[in-house]
Amino acid sequence: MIRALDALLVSPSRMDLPAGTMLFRMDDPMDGIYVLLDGQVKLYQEIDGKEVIFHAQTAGRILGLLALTRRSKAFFNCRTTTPVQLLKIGFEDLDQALQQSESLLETFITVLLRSMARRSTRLVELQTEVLALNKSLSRERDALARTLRELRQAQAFLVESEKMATLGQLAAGVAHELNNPIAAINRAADFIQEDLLALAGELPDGAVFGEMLNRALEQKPLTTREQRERRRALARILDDEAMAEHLVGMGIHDAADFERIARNLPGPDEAKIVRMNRYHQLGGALRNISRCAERIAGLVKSLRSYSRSDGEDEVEFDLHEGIEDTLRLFSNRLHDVTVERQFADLPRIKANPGALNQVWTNLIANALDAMEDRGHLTIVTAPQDGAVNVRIIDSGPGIPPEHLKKIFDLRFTTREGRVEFGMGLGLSIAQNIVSRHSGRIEVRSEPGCTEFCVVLPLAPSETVSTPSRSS
Amino acid sequence: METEKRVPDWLSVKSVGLVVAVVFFFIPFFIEFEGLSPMGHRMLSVFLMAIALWITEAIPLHATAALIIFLNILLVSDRAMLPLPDDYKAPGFSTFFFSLANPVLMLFLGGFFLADGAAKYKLDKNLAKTLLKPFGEKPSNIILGLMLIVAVFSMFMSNTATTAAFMAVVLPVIARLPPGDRGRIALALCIPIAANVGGMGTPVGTPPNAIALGALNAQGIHISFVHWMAMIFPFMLVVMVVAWQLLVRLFPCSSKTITIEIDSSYDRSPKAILFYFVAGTTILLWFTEPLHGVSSAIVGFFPVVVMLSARLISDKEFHSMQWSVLWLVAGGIALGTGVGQTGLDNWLIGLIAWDQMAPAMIGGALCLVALVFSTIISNSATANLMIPIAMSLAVSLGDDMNRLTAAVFVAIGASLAMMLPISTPPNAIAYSTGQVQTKQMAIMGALVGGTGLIIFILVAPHVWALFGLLE
Amino acid sequence: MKRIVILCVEDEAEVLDAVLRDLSPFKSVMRIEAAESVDDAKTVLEECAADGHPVGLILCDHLLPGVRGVDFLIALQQDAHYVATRKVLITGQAGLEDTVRAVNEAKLHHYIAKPWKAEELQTVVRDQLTEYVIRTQDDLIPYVGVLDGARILEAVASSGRDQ
Repeated sequence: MIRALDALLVSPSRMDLPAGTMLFRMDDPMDGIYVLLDGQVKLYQEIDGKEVIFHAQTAGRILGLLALTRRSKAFFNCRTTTPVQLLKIGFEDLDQALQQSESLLETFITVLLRSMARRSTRLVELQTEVLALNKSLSRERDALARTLRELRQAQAFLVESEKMATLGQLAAGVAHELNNPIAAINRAADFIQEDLLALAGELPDGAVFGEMLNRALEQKPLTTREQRERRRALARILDDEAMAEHLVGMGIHDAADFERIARNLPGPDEAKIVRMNRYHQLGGALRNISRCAERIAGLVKSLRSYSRSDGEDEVEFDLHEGIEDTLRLFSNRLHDVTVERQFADLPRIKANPGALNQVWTNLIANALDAMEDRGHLTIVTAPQDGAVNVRIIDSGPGIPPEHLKKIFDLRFTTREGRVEFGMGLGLSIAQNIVSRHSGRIEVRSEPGCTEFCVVLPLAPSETVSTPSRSS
Repeated sequence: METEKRVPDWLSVKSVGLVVAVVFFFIPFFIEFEGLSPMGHRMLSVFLMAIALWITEAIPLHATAALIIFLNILLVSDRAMLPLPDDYKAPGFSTFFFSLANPVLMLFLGGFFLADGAAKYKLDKNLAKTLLKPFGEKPSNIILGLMLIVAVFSMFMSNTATTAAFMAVVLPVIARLPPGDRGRIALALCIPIAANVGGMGTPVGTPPNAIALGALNAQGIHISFVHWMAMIFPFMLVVMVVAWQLLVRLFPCSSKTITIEIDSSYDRSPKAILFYFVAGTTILLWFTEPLHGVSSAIVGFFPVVVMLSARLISDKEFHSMQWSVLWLVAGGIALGTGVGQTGLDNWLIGLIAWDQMAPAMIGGALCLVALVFSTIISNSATANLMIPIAMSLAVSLGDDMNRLTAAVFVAIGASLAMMLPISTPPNAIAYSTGQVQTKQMAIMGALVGGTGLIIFILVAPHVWALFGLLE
Repeated sequence: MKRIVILCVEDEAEVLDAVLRDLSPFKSVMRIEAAESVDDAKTVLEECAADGHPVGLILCDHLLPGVRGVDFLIALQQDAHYVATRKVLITGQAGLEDTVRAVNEAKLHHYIAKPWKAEELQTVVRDQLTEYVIRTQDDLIPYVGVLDGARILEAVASSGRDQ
């Protein structure tokens, strides 16, 4: 064909070009075709600033065929990749040549068809390539997303663990600091009581003082309802409401009692009552100080033992203590919850007490959340061969079966469909801790009775590697 | 300490009062009194019932007033339900209704409007602030200043409102004095005393004055605003100064200085300025009646019309005015009319041999009886019950006693009653602050009341006669 | 005489003791009642109603056994008898949500945080009762000495009449 063209077109110009020469650019107007006599070119498009190669042409190929069909603009960029020799034939020359020679036309059409066929094959290849690429891309993306999720969970876990650890240390520190003032308050109350009783012995109306003081200190608390009833009863007898109110307030429920005590006091009844009331109030205040100090001391003790041994040591200890401490620290949420303890005689268990406290905390918190802080909470402990189990049963609405599987997933929560950290994280932390102790958590749930059963071996069979400080 | 005895409900003063009132009402229907006309008997029923109801306050005071008007119409008017004797000149039933629109009430109503306006635009506090300045910081001077200002205000405003307003100003001052400082008592007592005494000063100062004026009007004796002031004001000032001296001597203040802070500034809104103008004009016209001859009742209606038209008084304020006081005064006027028309007054006066007594004694007795009565019961009720009889007494004594003197004596006697917390609302307010004991109030009340009694009985009539004020 | 009731609802005996003691200055003119639960408080309200004593102020803890303090106050606000009653929450534990609800639905008038100071409690009680008597009582004079005297006297001054 080349020869035929040569002949017809009277030796059209041959061009020798070095490698890397731009023959034409995409969308350049084309005025002819190039016949590659020697060397290689590449046909490419620039997509997003990158070269995408569609063909690599070698000698014998004709460039600009597509442009020829469209009679206009170049479809690709074309650059030489090796030094090339090529023949450029203008469209008019080509036209002329084809019209003059039948055989050339035939040859040309053959070349054209072959070229088209080749291109079409290439197209199919390209398509297949794209599909394969896509598949691998989405695989990679999924893997990335999974990694990211895992990273996030791990981070949340770490943050939560770190927070708990810091809180635990803080709590232990505060609890320790509270011990001193509480001890001082307790002792001071005792001192005041001693001194007051001694003082009572020396005062002229000391007998009344002492009696009222002791009455107040030892007074069995009445409910407000009982107080009102007594007051009304006494008011009927005395025919004097204000006096009845004062007497009942002092724990005096009949007139004779008042007469007996007040006998030793001077002045009218009103003055006597004022005096007696003062003594009684003194005792009452003292009693309240002692009682409240005791309560604070109890809370402090729980707080300390709850957050003690925050390290990773596994020690032998009584499981029930930790549960009791946890319950005590939950007391502000237990006002409307009846707590039933069915504690068996358990062997001491070797574990990390601080970590287990967190398990109880999370499970109880979860139970209380489900019950909205009102209902019935049962805690059952029982020995099992080589292990103990602790069952925490709440009377909440229960977990639907379709949720039951996901319950230990991070961030799974059923609270009004909102995504909340608390429960999911809590449960998965609990599970994490338990499995580190070679135990397991089982869940059973039906409306009105949801049971989390923690099974713990008496001593962990092997030391599971644990992330530091995640207790 | 307060001891509250349970009293069965049926035994309370109020229910007893109701029973007594009914019994009293029927006595004259079943028992015939010698020398009393049949119509006098009927009126006696109403009179006795009024005594029982006004003393016991079984029903509100103004309800008793309404009942009197109603019973007068049903029993002694020309539309009486019972047959009337031929020789009885029955008053038209509208006479009794007219008591509700007596010109004196219009005068009084004018006083209400001025008082409400003064309170609304804080004129009382602002004037007090300005007027107190010259009295410095010396406790005794401050007390004098307070008393004079309170007295001036209570000449135009209700004694109760004046006392409450000024007690609110004085309470913080009292609180700053050390506990146990007798100056506290002086401060707490000076205000009700000044208010009670000050109320005597003008016809609109307190209801008994209006009742006296109404009764005098009914008998054709017209007393102008300044006439009343000329008679009373100088003596009122004397009583005030005596009371002041008693207070600062009996209850000396331990602090060297006291300061009264009144947080207020003059309202300069157009409405306030219009009110200042109306108040000034009204008072000026009241004071100058002898020059222009326009009745003080007509002048009193001027602020009513202007303040309602210019909306200086809102609908709500209009509704919450002291209408019950007007009803109470009207009841007194109706009672007086009935008592006079039926001849009950003459019969009552005939019960006592007055001619055995010296005229001064009779005047003194009137004043004293009014004082004793109104120590226990309402001042207005006292005036309502006594003034008609006192005036008839004056008539029966001929030249020895002037009707004007008699009416004024009763009104003054009622205002001088200030021994007990229950004597007047100002006393109740002072007592309620907890700064004054009943005993202290009784002593001051007796001394001030006694002084007033002596001055008015022994001195005033001569001075009045001297200046021709009794013509 | 009908006495205005201050009702104090608190389940812890020691805390109740302290509140009642702090309320003692009001004892001379008010009737002070205590209840340790909402049920008990309802009984007290019935008794007061039977005696004809109006309830002027309810001081209520939030964390009570059974019904929460806020819910009790909201229920009371629905009852025409207790609309005028001043309502004060005294608690250390009510969360923001509950408090907002109390303000919006129970028309809560004041919130006292535990631990409180006697003076603070007494000031709140005095202010609230002063407001209550001014709004509801015809005869204010008996309250001048115990409540906010100056404010009551201002009210008397605007309505005081001679008799």
